[in-house]
Order: sequence, then structure tokens, then C-alpha cells
Amino acid sequence: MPSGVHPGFTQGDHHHGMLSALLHLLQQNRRQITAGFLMLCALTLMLASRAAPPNLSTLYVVTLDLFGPVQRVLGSPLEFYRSARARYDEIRRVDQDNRALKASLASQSSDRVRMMELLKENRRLRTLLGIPTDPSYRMLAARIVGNSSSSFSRAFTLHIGSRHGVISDAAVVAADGLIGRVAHVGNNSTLALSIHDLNSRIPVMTQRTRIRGIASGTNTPVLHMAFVPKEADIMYGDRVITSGAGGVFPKGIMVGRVIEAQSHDAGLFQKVVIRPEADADRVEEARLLIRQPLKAPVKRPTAPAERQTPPAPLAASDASASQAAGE
Amino acid sequence: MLAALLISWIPALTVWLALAIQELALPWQTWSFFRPDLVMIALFYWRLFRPDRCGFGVAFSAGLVLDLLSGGLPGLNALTKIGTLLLVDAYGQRLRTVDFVLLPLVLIVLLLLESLIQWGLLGLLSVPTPHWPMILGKPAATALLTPLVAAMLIHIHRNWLEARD
Repeated sequence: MPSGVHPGFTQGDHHHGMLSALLHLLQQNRRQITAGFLMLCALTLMLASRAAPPNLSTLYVVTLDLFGPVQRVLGSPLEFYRSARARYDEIRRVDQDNRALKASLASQSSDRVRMMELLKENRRLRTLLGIPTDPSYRMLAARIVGNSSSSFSRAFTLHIGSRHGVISDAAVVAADGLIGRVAHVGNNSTLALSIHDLNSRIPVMTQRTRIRGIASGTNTPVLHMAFVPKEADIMYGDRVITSGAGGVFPKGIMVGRVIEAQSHDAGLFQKVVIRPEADADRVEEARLLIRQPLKAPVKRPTAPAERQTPPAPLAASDASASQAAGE
Repeated sequence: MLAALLISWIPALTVWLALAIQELALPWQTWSFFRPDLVMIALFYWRLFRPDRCGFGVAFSAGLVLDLLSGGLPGLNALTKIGTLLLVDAYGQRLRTVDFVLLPLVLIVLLLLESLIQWGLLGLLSVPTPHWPMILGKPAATALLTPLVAAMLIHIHRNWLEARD
């Protein structure tokens, strides 16, 4: 019997006692031991994964397989919310874009109309400005604001009057040609008689053969050229311009083209029909040619040779008249 | 029988549910600093009030899965979670008498401690150490969510666990 052992106990009993004491100890500190063991495992795992990464693919696969469906289930409301939110955002964006585009389109549409109007006006005014005139006439631009035509009269109203310098009998010229003359002048508006009016008489001549006559209005779209001799050389399409006779209309303003020339056996004159070049119904702006009073020549010291040069207002006028007529 | 078995697993199930939600609640990478540690809240609660239902095994497995799911160092969260639960065990008696309002503060301390331990371990293992926002963001976000999560856990505890125990 080993010393220190109670005589009543055998060695087996002693071992059994130690084991039970150990088990009791383990039982008492079960939590701490479990915690320590698991911490040791975790630490080992950490160290091992840092030192030589172990093959954790199986662990990952198991984990992901376990949590994949759970994540999908839990994530489905989130995904639904996300997709719904994305869809809502998209619809809202599309709606905003749609509104913006519609507004832009509407704005652009009105802008386009305005732009086209301005462009056309610009073209008309450019054309109007481009017509060279007799230098003895000054120009006033006017807008046609009203049409006073009736069955027996053809007239139109301009937006400027005597306050702006308009005088009676001033020629009213559109970009394409003559359209009338001023009949009555108010302070701020003017009534112009159309060349189509029955009372309209315009001294004209054919540009090609210089045959003179009087273009009279007929209240129809055409004019009659009166007092054209039977033997006069007039052809279809001849240009008819103002002759300048009488001093009311400057010379060389385009009036129209001959569309008919008939010579009857009886009578002294031909029947010539002119179609005006300018369509008065479509004209919006016009130019008034106001005859300027003759100025006294300014005396200035010039060289004798220069002094001998004759002034050429008439020549210039002719040239401008020719250009106006489209030559 | 099955119901009784499930009831006994309710704490562990809530921990796993918290784990799943935690990994899904903030899927945006930008906000990963502020990803709340719902697992820690659940572990803390159950370890404090029902330690018999929430053992170290649950903490270890949850921490390990967390590491695996988040792609972190395997075992890091498992280790620190167990360490935190040991602290809860050590001061459980005292913490149970603390007012519920103060528990989020205790949890913040525990989370900061856990973050610091993780930081230290990562430093020891020559892993690039995280920045301060990464350490402070998680405790702050977790503390903000603690009342809500704790209320849900209390509800589960009283209505499901205690009522059927």
C-alpha cells in the first residue's frame, strides 16, 4: 500500500476519486473551459490562416450554402424595395424629362414660328432695302396695318403718317415693285391707294422698247396699259416700269409684266394687260418714296477740272431705276 | 415536442437571424463603417438575461460565420465575441441591475473594447490596421439601434420564451 493512502481505500478507489474530482472541476468550470477552448480554436484558425492559409473552401461553401437562401429570403423585401424605388425613380425621371421636353418643344415651336416670322420679315426688309432708288427721293419704311379694299376701291393703311414725314402722292413700293401711292395722310397713319384701284393711274413704259402708257387699275388682279399705239412693239412678258412722267413716281420702279397685248382693227391703241409684280395682298412692309425738295448747290473750292464735271443725278437715277427693274 | 425544441433554440435563432439581417441591412459598401453589430446586441441580451440559452458555441459559430460572410480574418470575430461574452458573464450580476436605458452605453463600451481587441490582433498579425472611423462607426451605429433591437428581443423573450418555458 502506498504511503499517504487511507487504509480503507484501494488504489482504484483513489484513481476514481481523482477522476471524479477532475470531472467535478471540469463541471464547475465548464463555461470557462468551453470558452477557452473555443477561443483557442479561433486563435488557431486565425494564426493558421495567416501563416499558411488553410483550405477553407469547404467551410466557405457550407456557410454560403447555409446562408445563401436565408439571405435571399431576407433580401427579397429589400430587393423588391430597391427595384421598386429604382422603377419609381426611373418613372419620375422619365416624367420629368417628358415634361421638360414638352415644355421645350412647345417653347421651341413658338420660338420657331417667331424665328420664321423674323426671318421672313428680315428677308423682306433686306429686299426692300436693297432696291436702289432715285437719290432725289428719300425713303420711309412703313408697315401695312390694314386693308381697306372693297368692291370698288383698293386701298391699304400704313402705320406712319405726317408726323413721320409722309406726304401725299408718295409712291408706295414693295420689294417686288410698286403697289400704290399715298392718298390721304393722317398724323400717325396713312391711306394708300393701290395700283389696282379704279382711280389709280400710273405713267409707265415698257422696259425693253420704252413704249409709254398709263397703267390704270381695274379693281381686278390685273392692270390695263392705256394709250399704247397699235404699232408699238410689245411682247408677252415685257417688263413695265414707271416712266417718271408727271413727277409723282420716280422713274424705273417695277410695276409688272405684260400678259396680254391685243391689237384690234378699229381704234388707235392696243389693249395691253399687265399683271403687277407685287402681290399687294401678301405685302406686309413697304417703302414710301418721298420726293425731297431740291437743294441749292453747295459752293466749295474745287479744282477747275472737277468743276467742269457735270452732276449726274439723272444718270444715277437711271442706273438705279434699271437695277430696280432687275436689269 | 418540436415546439419545445424550437423554443429552446429561440435565442440562438435570433442570433442567426441578427447575423443574416446584419449582412443584409446595409449592403452598401460606402456605409460599411456604420454597419451595426446586431449579433452583438443579441448575444449581449441573451447572455445577460438567459445565459442558459446562449452559450459560447453560439457566439463562436456566429462570429466565425460573420468572418466567413464578411470575408474577414477567420476566427477574429469568433474570438472577440467569446471574449465579450466572458466579460458579460463576469459582470452579469451587476449589469442585470443596471437600468435598461444605460445598457446601450455598456454595449458601446463592450463594442469599443471588441473593436480595439480586433484592431490589436490585426496589428499583431500584420494585417493593415483599420482607421478610427472603422472602429468608432460600428459601436455608434449599434448603440443607436440597440433600443429597437432590444425591444424586439424583450418581446420575443417575454412572449415566446418565458410564456412557454
